[in-house]
Amino acid sequence: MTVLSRRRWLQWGTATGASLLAAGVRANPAPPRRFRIFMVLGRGEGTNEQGFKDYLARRGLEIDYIVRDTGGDASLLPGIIQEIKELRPDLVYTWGTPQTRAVVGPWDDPEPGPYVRDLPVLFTYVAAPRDAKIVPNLERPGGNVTGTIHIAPVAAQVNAILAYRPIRRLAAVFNPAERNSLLMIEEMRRECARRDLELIEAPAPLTDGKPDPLDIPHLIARCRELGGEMLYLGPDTFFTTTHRHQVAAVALAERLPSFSATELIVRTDRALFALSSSPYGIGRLTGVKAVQILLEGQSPGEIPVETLRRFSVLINMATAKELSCYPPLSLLNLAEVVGV
Amino acid sequence: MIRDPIRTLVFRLTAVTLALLLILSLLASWLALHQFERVLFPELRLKAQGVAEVLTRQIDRALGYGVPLAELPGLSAALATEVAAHPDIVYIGVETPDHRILAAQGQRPAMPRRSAVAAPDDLEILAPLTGQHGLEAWLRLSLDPDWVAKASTDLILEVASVILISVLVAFEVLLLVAHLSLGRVRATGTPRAYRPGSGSPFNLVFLRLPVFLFCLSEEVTRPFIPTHAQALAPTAPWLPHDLAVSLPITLFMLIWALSQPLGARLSGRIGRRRAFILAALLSALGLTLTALTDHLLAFMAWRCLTALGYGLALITAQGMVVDHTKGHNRASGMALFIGALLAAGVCGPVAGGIITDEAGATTTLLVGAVLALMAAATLGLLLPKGERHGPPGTPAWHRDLSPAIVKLARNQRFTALMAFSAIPAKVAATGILFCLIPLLLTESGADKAEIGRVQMLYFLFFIIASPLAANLSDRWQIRRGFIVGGGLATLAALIPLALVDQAWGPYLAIALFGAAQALISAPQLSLVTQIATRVRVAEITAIGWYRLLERLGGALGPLVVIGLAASGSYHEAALGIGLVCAGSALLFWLLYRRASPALHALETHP
Repeated sequence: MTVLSRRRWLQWGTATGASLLAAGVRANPAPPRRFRIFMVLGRGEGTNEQGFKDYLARRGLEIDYIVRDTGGDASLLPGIIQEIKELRPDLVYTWGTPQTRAVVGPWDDPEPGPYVRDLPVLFTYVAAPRDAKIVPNLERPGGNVTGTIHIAPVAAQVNAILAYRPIRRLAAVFNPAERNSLLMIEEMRRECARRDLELIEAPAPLTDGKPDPLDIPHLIARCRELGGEMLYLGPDTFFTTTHRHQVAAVALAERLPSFSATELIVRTDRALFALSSSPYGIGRLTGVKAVQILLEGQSPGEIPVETLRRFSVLINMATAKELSCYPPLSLLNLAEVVGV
Repeated sequence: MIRDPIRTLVFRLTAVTLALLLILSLLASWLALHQFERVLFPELRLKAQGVAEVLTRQIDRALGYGVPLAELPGLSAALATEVAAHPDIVYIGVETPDHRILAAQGQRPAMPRRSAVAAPDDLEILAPLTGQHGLEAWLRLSLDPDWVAKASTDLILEVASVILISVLVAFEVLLLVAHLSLGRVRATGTPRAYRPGSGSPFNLVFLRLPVFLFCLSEEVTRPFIPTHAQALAPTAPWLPHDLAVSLPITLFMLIWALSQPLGARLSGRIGRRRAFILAALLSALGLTLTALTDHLLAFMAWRCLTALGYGLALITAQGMVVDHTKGHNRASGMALFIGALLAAGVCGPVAGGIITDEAGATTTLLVGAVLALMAAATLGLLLPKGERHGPPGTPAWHRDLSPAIVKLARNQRFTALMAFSAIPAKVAATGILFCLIPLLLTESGADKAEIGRVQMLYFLFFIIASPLAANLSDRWQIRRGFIVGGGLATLAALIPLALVDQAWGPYLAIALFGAAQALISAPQLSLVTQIATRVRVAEITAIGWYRLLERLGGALGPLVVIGLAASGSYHEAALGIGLVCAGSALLFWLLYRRASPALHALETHP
């Protein structure tokens, strides 16, 4: 029985039934394609990657993941990029600003040599992709790159800080060697000026271009001595990921309430509160973009760089108690609470 | 009129139907209202319990995390949000078991008064706040004992006005239906079958419903025109704010007054029936465009267009009455016409206010447009086609305009009557009723339905007092006294508006104001006709001038009121208008008396 004769028979059927069946006939699918996604991570697989993988699995994609983790060591990146160029995966997934910058390079650098420019690259956990020159434009990133942003806009962060406590002086520690931290501090400077807030900046001193963890206690103590009423922790890998345990403990010892733009340091350590996207949600949003590239065949340059519309407040109640710095009822109503 | 047995029957049926309708709706409303308080209060308490529960859950969550209640920031702010959101909740506080108040918002009624619907205990809700170690505090929430009473008063007034409207509308419809059936009963004996508008004798009752519907189309806009203009004022920032508010009404009145001579000419050219339909369509168009605009200039322009339609339609309808009545039945014909006008005045503002509160001013304006279309349609259906254009011998007041006004103006009594009674009275009527009342009541927080109710009272008391005043002034042959009395009564009426700071102040003032204006109306007309006879000017011409002049006074009203309010308050403006009316009434008394004592005696005792 050929497809043709079956179609003829179907013409006698009802209109809806016919079209449904015909669609079934036409869509007779080729065996599902397996995709290869190359992941370039900086601190191992997290909830974020879990959300990404879960989403793609639920959409029925069969994927082979090739995972490489720098563990914060940038010297590994050239080798990883070489591997990408040899393997030619269907999609490159990059976590964090340093990894993404190394893979795609500044968009206005005409020299394609060391960068991946001919494979779709999907980044995540990049706080300021435009300022980091990863994309020229968030709406239409152009080229072979798109991705997701994981932090709330700076104005929303300042709103959250002021909702917790009406302060006048905000102190920020950051690693000047991290591009995204510098960009975030620049934006914070503008926002604080707009709101008549004083921003106390405490950049980590660099030796050989690297910050030293031994400087952390001294930096945070200085923030307090200069009159900082709240410690600001931006999307800074050195302070909020690698050395988060020490940072949170020192802030607590100095009795300085701390706000973080990412949630890990509040969830696993003793920073006071955070305004952040759920990492799992960001992973899913990144998954949506992967589907657009892999299944729907869209060019990454046409897919806007986005962030989640909702951010959640996460409060570490143990820290609040120890500091006697309790959240107001209105903020508490919206917040997730840990450390009870 | 009522000697005809069929007419008598119809009249009685109408009366019985209306009486039944009135009794039944009053009964149903009374039963509903009786239940209202009983049902409302438990609902309010339930809602308050809901509010208490939401707050308790929020505070308990904080307590559960070990936040000490005394150190919980934002507690007062959370209580304040709820107190502000619920007008029936006057107080929310958090107190320790030993009655120390940790946070409180609003004023706790010191000793809950006994209320008809609630025991004192019912007016308070106490909810325990529990933390990690059991009871930590109480949340106390107090309901406003007066709120239920106010809510049910509002509802009673609203229901009463709706009943009044439905009875009046039912009356208009019944009157028409009765007369249509009357025609059919009469026609069955004769060879030609009866059809409305098919050569049967012209029945003025058929004019009444179209006129009623048409007036209603404008009356529904009364409660919100000035506040609407106020809201649009920022779109024309170069126009002084006071002018932006008053000018739309002033322009409307002005165009209305000036469209009168035009109306006579128009119906002369295309016939009264077509002129009325055209004018009603013009009005419908004006109302629709007004509804759709959000710019003050366009708003004023479309109000002018509506005014043109309004003026043309009313003068045309009046012309129809004149065409089809003669001296002996003209008064009853006019009464029919004015009855429709006043009925619309009673129904329109309230209905418009309720619609505006529920669906917004745009909807009300569109409803007005539909009513104007219905007026055109009903007139088209009910009145015979092919009626003569401008029937010969119809007295048209505009025919010998200039010589008439010269004669009239030379008459000191006429000028005194116009300058010190007719014009001030209309300044007060439009200024107070259409401009000041919506602004003043909106300022004190009233909704549009309440504004409509107050405006309705004017027409209601005018209707009640008007025949009485006309009758008494005829019987006692006192015209001047009534006019002067009316002017002084206007001042007395406006005193509550200026000085009483209670909710019933405006109601009382406007009811008295309606009655005071009724004292003046009929005697003014009588004096005008007397003067016309004396100076040998056609009666209809003199009345035409009188109406034109008083309507120009009407156009001045909003400007005067807003001008007075600009240099003081709305309350002072009301008092100012009252003083103007009383002062000019006294001047009128002096001047009219001096004019010609001998002739005065002749006129009052013919």
